[in-house]
Amino acid sequence: MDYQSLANANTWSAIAPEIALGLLALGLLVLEIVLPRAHHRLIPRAALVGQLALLAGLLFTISRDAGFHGASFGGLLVHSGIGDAFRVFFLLTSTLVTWMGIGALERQTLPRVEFFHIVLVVTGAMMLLVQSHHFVMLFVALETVTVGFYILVSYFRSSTSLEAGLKYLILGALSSAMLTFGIVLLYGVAGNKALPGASANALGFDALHTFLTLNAGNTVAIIGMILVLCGVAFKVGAVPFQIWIPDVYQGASTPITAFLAVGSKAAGFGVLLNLVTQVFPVGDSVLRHGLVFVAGATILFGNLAALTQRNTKRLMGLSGVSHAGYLLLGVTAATYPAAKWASGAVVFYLFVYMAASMAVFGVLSHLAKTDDAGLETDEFVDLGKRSPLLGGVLAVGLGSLAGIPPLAGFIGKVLLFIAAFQAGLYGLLGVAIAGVILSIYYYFGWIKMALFEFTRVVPREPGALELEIRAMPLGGRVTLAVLGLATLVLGFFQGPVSQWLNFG
Amino acid sequence: MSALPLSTLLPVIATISLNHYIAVAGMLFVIGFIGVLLRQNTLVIYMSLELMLNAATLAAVAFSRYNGTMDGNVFVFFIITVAAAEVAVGLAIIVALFRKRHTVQVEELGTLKN
Amino acid sequence: MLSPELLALLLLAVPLTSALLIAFFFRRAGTIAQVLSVGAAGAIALIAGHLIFRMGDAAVSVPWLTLGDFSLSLGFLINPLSKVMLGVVAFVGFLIHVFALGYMKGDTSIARFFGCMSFFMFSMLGIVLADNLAMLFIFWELVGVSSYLLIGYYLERPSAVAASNKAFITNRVGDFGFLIGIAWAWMQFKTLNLTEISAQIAADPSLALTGIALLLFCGAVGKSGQMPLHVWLPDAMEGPTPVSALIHAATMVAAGIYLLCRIHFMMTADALNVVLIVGVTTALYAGVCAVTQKDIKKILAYSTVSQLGYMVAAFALGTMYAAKHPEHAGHAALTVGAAAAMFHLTTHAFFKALLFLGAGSIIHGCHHEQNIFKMGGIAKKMPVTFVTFTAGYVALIGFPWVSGFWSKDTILYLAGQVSPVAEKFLLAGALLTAFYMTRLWVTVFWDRPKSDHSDHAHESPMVMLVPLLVLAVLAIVGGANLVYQPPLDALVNSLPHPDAATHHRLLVTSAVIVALGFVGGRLLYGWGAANDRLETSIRPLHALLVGVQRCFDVAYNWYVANVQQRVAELLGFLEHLLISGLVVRGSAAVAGVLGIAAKSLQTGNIHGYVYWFLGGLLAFWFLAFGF
Repeated sequence: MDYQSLANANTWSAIAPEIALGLLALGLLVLEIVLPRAHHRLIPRAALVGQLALLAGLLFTISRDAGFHGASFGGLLVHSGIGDAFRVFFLLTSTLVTWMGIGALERQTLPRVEFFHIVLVVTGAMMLLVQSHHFVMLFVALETVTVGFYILVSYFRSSTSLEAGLKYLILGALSSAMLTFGIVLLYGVAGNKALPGASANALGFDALHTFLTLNAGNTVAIIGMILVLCGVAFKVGAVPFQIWIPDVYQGASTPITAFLAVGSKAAGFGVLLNLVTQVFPVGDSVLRHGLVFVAGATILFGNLAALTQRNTKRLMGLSGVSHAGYLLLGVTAATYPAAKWASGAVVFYLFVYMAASMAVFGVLSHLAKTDDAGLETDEFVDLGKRSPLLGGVLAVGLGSLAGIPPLAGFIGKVLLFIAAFQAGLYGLLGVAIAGVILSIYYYFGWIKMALFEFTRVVPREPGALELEIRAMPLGGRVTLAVLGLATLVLGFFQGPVSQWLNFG
Repeated sequence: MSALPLSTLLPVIATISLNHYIAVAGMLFVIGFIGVLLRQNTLVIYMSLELMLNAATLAAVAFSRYNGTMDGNVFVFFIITVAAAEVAVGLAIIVALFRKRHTVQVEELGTLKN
Repeated sequence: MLSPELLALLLLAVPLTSALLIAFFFRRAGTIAQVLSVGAAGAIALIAGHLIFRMGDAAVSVPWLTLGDFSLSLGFLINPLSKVMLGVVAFVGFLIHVFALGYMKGDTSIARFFGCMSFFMFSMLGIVLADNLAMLFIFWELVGVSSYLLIGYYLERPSAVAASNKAFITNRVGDFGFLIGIAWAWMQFKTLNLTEISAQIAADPSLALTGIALLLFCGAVGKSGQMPLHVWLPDAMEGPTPVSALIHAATMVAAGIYLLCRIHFMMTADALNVVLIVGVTTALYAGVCAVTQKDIKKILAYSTVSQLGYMVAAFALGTMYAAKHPEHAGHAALTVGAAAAMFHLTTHAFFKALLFLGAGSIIHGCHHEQNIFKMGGIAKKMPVTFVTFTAGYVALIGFPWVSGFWSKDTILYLAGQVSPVAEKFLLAGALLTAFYMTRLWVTVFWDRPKSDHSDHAHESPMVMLVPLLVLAVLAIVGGANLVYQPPLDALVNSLPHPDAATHHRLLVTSAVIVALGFVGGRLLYGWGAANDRLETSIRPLHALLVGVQRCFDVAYNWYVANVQQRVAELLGFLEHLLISGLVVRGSAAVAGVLGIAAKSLQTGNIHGYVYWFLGGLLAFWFLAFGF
């Protein structure tokens, strides 16, 4: 293949959303130079507007079915319906993170523009990550995301924020190293001409899949796959690579915690879905047993550890681990031919999880004190009485995360569980249901604390633990209300969403 | 002992098989991992992490040569670039942390827990 | 332009909007809430009328949730059966809303009452219109919630709160079986759509399973107060009287009957036998219970349970009859069983709503006195109430040519054709009905007032009397063909008509039964009594009857106290140990081993975390390659 034909294979229009995000990110930096200092506070709002416009354009393209589907850039990327769904997902996430970031940064004396710039770059990289069809593309996109998050986690430069950043840095780099070594091993063994199915394009997903199917028992290939999956498991927070989560979530500022919990995790799941359904021949191999064990352990660990947790950010992190477990259940089910639609269920659950988590994080971010190290659940006493909107949205979000029937989280879980049932994963299903029951304890403890006065055990001394509730601008209130309503409505009516997410 | 001329080295190099390269790469990877596990100084831990990436680089080059495809070599460039970015960000974080805490010893960085 | 499905959607949207508006904006504004709720009920009656008389049948279904081969849909199934039920719910519901305007006047949280009423209308209409079991179950639970809220409406009364809890828990028992039945049905038919299931069973009758039918029937047993889950319904009378009339007499409790009719094609012969036995036993047993009650609403409540038993029996008998006489199979949507049950449901809705509203009017007039032996002489004080209540009374006891006569005699006729044993039981039940209603009627209306409350009784305002009068007319003529204009005529046309000789025999039997019951009541209670003559004169019999009535409550209470309470205490102890000990007190001293262990794993030390990574790598290694 000569360079001319290679250049012709570049389909730039296929990655128009990512390019637009990049341009928006650069535009923010330009604005910072061009605009007088007094108007700098407009820049984050420009980012918000830009993302909303992009979101509208993206949804329009999808609704007209006008997006590019198929391989682009010589097979580096493959665009499909599920990729479009993830694009919308990440754009929604980044919009909400930008919204939270505006509020959080107003309380800090920090450079602002870079924060939003990096959020946008990371979002673009996440979009490319879930659509990558080649390991070099995957590596570059993944590292862009990871390095971006190193900066974002330590962005607030407080002592805790930097400690969280360092922990994320070391463990993230460790997982990257494992991933890289795994990719190299796969490349080496799949390009080995002595083996059947060897290919010159050993880093491409399709060729690799052919090779791995033909050489199921190859030791080097298995080590490579394990290392790659370890790297991805770090991203999604699966046991035993979940251990960094509570510390980093607590140390990072709340908008970034939300970005990690929703965006980074979803990106990990996008990659994992691609890998286990398209690249790695999971079949009846040890990989599937590994997935089952990891999913079960993740559900149990997340819920058990969250039971006694009182710091809300750590609680969200640990319960997020359990949600990763439910999602892993869906991913595992998707590897069975009987439940191929489970990948749609996983994406649906991600959307539901985003709406509910963002509702909770939105409330947390608004209530956060200056150190932003997470509030204790006790501090939410009387929240519902003092601010019905915050209390209500918090309760709806937590209720959805707990999977209470009329809310979206319930439908999301039911779909995952049905998929697992169809796949015959009965034991894992039992573990998941036990996990859901456990989770009700800590979610409801929090809801009770926030909404019901009579559950207060110790009479509160006047002035103690009094939480400062700042006034919220209209846009913020509308956003929170929309998140709560979306969680409510998705519980009753999924209509177009579920059809759109029907990837089969 | 004076340096050996390249011409005498070449036949020796030719006898080094792929397995040798991979064994070295594997050892580098394990040494890096052990370094991350055991060293106390964050900077040294970071160097160990870079060592693990270099293990991947070495393996990639060896595979690329042995398989006769250029993909591995291209991948190496990406690894090096990404590693450079990682180092830039990582060192910045370590320096900022040192300014706050006046230490980069791992056992003293445990305020976020439980 | 106006399609049936649009109207159906509107039927759901109107009460929901009303309920939401009241919940969010008019919680303190009682007057606005009244106007909204009654306006919504009126709009429902109009829309329902248009849908019933001007629109054809319809079955629409929109996919609600589709992922891969799994799909759930929402939709409406409008056929003669649902039209009959829709007519009852919309029309009686509207009248009771109007009545409530007068009855609830001056109550402090009137907005809450009307908000709940609108929410109930929404849920109930959802049950009526639903075209699949999943949607039906959702609305089924929602009516349960609104019933719970309304039974416990008088929050300050502990008995009301206890009654609402009892209703909720008892219904959960039935619903649990219902839910399992739905799940099983899904596994069996791969769909929950009623039309599709019906088509499948029509193609292959062996698909219908007794187990599924009985599990679904469990739901009806709970909601319609059939034995042995009837215990909640008499207690549910703690709610305001319009609620008792609407929810616990005319509509919600009849939802179980409606469910049976809706799924008639899933019934098997064995299942029908069980249904028949449950219905007949309930009809007789509740009649026995009603005899010893002193609270006017409780008498009517047991009477409701008894009549619901008749409806369940009617369904079973009619379906058996149709199986025996295929030439009388009836309408496709309204089989003989469904028609017989729905006919009695309809007439019962008229006269029982009337009786409850009449009782409400009396209670309202007597300053919330409910003991019939402290009333007396009401006939003179409240003449309109007296006349209308008497209309309901004659209808309920099945006085010839009055509405209850037609529907009850249809049931007795079917019983005579299918199961003579059931016929004997049902006749005995009818006798009891005549007896206890006569007891109620003479004690309340005749003789002299026996307490200050009844002495100062006054007639209710017009807003309460107009619904009474309308219902009284319907209670009298509700059995006549002319009431059922097309397409509702399917209800009466689907029923088999006895030949002249049988008809006369039935007429005579009914007349004799009514006369016997009436004479019995009169002999014992004269023209009213200050105390229960049965209790004073035939003490052992009274004690026996009370014992029979209470035995279920006693058994359940024993079970709850000795079995469930123990388990609950154990769980509570464990919860105290695990949750309160750790989360609330936050004390690590009380060991919640797992939680604490998981928590302590986060040491905060990076090296510790790297060991996790190493452990993960090694675990995967061993999983892949063994040790």
